[in-house]
Amino acid sequence: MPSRRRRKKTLKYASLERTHRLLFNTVVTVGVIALAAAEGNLFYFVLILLGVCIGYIRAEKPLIPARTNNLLLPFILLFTILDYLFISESFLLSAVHLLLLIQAVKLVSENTEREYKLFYFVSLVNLCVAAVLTQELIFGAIFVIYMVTITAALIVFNLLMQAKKSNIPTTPSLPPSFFFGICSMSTVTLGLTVLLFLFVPRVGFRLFRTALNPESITGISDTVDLTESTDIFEDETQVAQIKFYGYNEPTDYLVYLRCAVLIHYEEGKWWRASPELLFSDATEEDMIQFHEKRLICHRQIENQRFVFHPPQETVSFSPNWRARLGVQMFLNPTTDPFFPVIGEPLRIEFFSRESPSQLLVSRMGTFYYPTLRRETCGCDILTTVIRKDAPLETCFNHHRIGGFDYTQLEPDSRYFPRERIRELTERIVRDANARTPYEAACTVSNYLRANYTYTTSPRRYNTKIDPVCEFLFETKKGHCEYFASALAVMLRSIGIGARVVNGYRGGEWNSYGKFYTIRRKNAHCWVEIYLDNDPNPNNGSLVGWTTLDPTPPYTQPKKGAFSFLSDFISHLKIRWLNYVIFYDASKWHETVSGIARQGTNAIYEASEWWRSFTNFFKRISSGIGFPIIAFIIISLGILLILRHTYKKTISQEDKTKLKPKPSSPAILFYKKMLALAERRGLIRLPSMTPYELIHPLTRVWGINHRDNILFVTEMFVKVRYGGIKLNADEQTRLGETLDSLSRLTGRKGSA
Amino acid sequence: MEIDYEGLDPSSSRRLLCRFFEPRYFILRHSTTLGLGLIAILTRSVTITFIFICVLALFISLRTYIWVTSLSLFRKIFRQKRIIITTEGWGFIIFTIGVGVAAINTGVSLLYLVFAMLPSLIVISGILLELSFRKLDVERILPPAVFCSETFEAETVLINRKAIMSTYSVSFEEIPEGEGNLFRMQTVPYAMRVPPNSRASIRYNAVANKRGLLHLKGIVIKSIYPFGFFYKRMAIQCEDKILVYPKIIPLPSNILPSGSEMQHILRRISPLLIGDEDFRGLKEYRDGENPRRIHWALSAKHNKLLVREMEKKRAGRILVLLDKRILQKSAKWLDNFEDAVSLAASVLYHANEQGYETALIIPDKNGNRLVEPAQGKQHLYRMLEILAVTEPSINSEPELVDIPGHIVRGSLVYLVSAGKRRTIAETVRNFRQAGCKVRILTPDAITKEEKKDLEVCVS
Repeated sequence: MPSRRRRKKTLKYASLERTHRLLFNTVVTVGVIALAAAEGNLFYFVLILLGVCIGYIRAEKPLIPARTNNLLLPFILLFTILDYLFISESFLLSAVHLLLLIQAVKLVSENTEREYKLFYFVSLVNLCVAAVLTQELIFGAIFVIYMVTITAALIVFNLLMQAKKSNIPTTPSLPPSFFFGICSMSTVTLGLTVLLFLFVPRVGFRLFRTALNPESITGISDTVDLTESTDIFEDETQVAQIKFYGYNEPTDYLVYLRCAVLIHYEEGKWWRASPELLFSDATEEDMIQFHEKRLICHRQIENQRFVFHPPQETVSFSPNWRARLGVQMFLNPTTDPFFPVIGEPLRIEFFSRESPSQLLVSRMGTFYYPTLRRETCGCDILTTVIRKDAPLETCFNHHRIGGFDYTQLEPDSRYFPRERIRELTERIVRDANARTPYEAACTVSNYLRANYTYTTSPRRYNTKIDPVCEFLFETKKGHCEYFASALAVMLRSIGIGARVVNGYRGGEWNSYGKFYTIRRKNAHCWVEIYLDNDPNPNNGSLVGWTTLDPTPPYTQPKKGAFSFLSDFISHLKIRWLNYVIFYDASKWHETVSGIARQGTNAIYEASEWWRSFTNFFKRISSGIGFPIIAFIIISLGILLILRHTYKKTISQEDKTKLKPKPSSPAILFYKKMLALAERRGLIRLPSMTPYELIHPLTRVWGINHRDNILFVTEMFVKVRYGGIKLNADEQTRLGETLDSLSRLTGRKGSA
Repeated sequence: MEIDYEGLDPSSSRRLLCRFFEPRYFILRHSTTLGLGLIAILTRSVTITFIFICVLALFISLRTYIWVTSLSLFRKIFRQKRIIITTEGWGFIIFTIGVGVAAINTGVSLLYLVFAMLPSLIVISGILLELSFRKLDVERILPPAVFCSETFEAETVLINRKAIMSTYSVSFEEIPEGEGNLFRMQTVPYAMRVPPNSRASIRYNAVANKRGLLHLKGIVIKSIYPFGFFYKRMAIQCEDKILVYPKIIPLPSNILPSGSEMQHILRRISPLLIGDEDFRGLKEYRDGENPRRIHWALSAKHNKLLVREMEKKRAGRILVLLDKRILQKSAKWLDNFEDAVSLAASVLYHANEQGYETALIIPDKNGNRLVEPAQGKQHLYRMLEILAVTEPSINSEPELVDIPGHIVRGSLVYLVSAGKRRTIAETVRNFRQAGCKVRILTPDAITKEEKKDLEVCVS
């Protein structure tokens, strides 16, 4: 039983070498995981992991001798060149891959102190490169793990190297409290890191741009082609996250992200611009430029952020008709040229590193992002939307806006029975007794919703007829594009100006972060009609384009059992983006000024408190209060002095405890007597007992001192072997005896 | 009282500063300030006046700083500490700056995060190192005396008075008074961990290179814990003295007489000096004693076994006389003197080892130093103590050495000298007249061991 207990005790102490090996391998692995996660390339991760495993298993006998690993350098360089030319195509990545390859080789060979330092350096470089390449939340977790492990690894490495240099054994003693200390230190380091991160000023010259390859997310087409049967697939790829400021509950009716505005309908297709110039050899670009003149938004720079103000050509703001809405939007990287908006934006402020130098908007209201979005883009949009309680029934509809007639349709033909559509629409409107354009539009929209079936896989059976007409009169089945196209055509047929919009509708509501997650499956098509409070179209409208969605309404998808986890992670991702990735100069300024403000408030409050305290003190000290206060202060002072004295006493006792206990006087005296006798020539054999020494001692000092010698010897034996304490008389006599013997010895013959 | 401005473990900048404020640079300092002042007055220039005031303020503040930090009270409260950045530390700092520049350049927030971690590690490293050194004390356990140029073992106890925190990875070095090479530590004492409220005893080998009283002023505790970026040194005042005996050198076999030779010498003087057959007394019989020595008659009378105790055989007596005169205080003569002291000590040491009685005489104009003949370790150490602190007499007259006859008679006298033999001829004559056998030893005679013929003069 005792041996098992002893064994348990030694197991608690970790060997220094083994601990270092474990920590070192962890640091290397975590570093390469960070890079692999950022890069999306597992090859080097697998290579390093292999190297770590082999290095760990064959720690005593490395796989590659130290001399041989330099011979592999040419091959490593060749591989790196190939990597640069064909794989990564980036100098930075190739340089890091070179370091990783060297590291992989070194892991399986013998390592010196210098090489271990190189490994740690390479892992730091990996982390830095990963920081440049990624914006993912996982980097945060990897970063924290890395910080803890590198702290521990560097400490243990330092201890190990020092121990080796001093030739002390490296097997024992790293107690559990050491690791607890490491954890505490890592926590403090993390806190300091966060503080420094928050307070380091953000300057950002932005000279170096990363070369990320964004996933090409498409889903918003710049045309709607109903002539081909296309199925809609449930694609879960995230497109954006949007949050409405001031709204903590789902507001599905607001979630209509307008991307592409389509105005011209011909032969089953909707276009962004009119193709009437096709026959005059104009290019599509010319066509777009002519009909879809893009205006440059006014740009300002505020706190190192780009802020865009769209030109006020579309609609004027009036609080009776429109409400202001603040929207925070995070757009994932995409190849789409469109910039999705809600309502009529007044101001767009980009707070991410990914922000355009220019934002364009067409007269039709399509916003364009001129460059490729390589990173997640974050912006705050101040927009206006039509109020829910706005009296739209009283509005007028104008169909000629911005030089384009929004009642454009093909002439009546067998392919496109325009008259039939008009009759149907008029009948619907008449039956519903709709008096105003808005009422008529709503009636037609309701009609479509009630009488037509939504399907994600529509089929064309009759190609001799226009697809909208086929949908309206024959199949009565289709997806959102059919519904929207049908509504737009029907409204146009009765002279109501309408347009089709491609964008995103709805999204998953995240209850943690109070935001919507928009996915590709949320791509949608709807109709907008132009309403005006003024019958004169030249006076400008306060209402503007109003959304009409004839497709069956959007319902929040059913969530699975573990959906709360994904919601929470999404929420964390948004927080990560908001507070870490997009922590820019403006936010830094806010943080610093906020803290300064709080500090100022605290100082002000403290000064107020001090003023009130002094007033109170003045009041009471004038009367009887003064002696009481004096008494309290004096008592406190005495208590403090007593406490200090007590602490000092305790520390003196502690000092005494740390010192070895002094021997008893009897033992000291006896030893002193022997030492004096030896100086006088006493030869003492180790085997001699105290009583055996009496005779030689007597010879040294003479017979006259025999009694003294006897006394000292007896006292010594009593204390040393009997454990008896001497009384004061005995101690005094001992001292006197020794003094007399010392006098006898004197300085005769001494130095 | 002279103030030690530099302190126990001064940095190079502090040394420079202290040197600048030494009296020999008085003219430079004051001429600079006065000159500036004069120019300021003459030119009435605001700029020069400003410079003058700045220079004056700088000198005053530096002087005050040195004075305040030299006070013993200040040093007691704030121990002298230095932080040196190691090579790895510099590399880390440069890397941190590089990451910082990259972060500022690119504006990548995650790079700012990595950048924030790096200085945090530096700060934590500094804080931990500082905390590790707090409430740390040392105690030395030194042998009372050691031999010159011989390795001895010393012990230093590190006391950690902190309640919670251990101190990790500390090593230390001694600060001897005087030149650095007087005391050299042969092993690097290192303690990997000193738990809280406990002591760690660390032994190390050291060697003292000069005889005399070696004064150790303090101990410098060093550490590069935790990451190896900073190397911190803290000097603790801890004074101790070790007496360094002269170096004991091996003597050629023909220097000291063999046993038979000594007996022959003694017999020539007086057969009585040998005697190992004199009855000394009776003592009680103990196990292991020769039963032939039992005095049966007295044993029967006293009813206990009694044995005869005889006088010990006279081992012979060696007297060493150290002539400490040297002609001049030059390096060569001083070296010679050291060799002579070492030679004297070696003779005494080896003679004592061989069981001879030894005595030491050092003639001095203020009074001869004499250690009467005796045997044993204590006696030897007493003589070595005297030899350890003996200083040479420069260019003094030869002294007549007056030694009591009973000491001289029957002794073999070794006259050890660093000086020329001519100056000790008188002393040799005196000894010869007293009937002693005299051998003269000089350091040269011993170092050239290949020479069979020693430079001795035997009467």
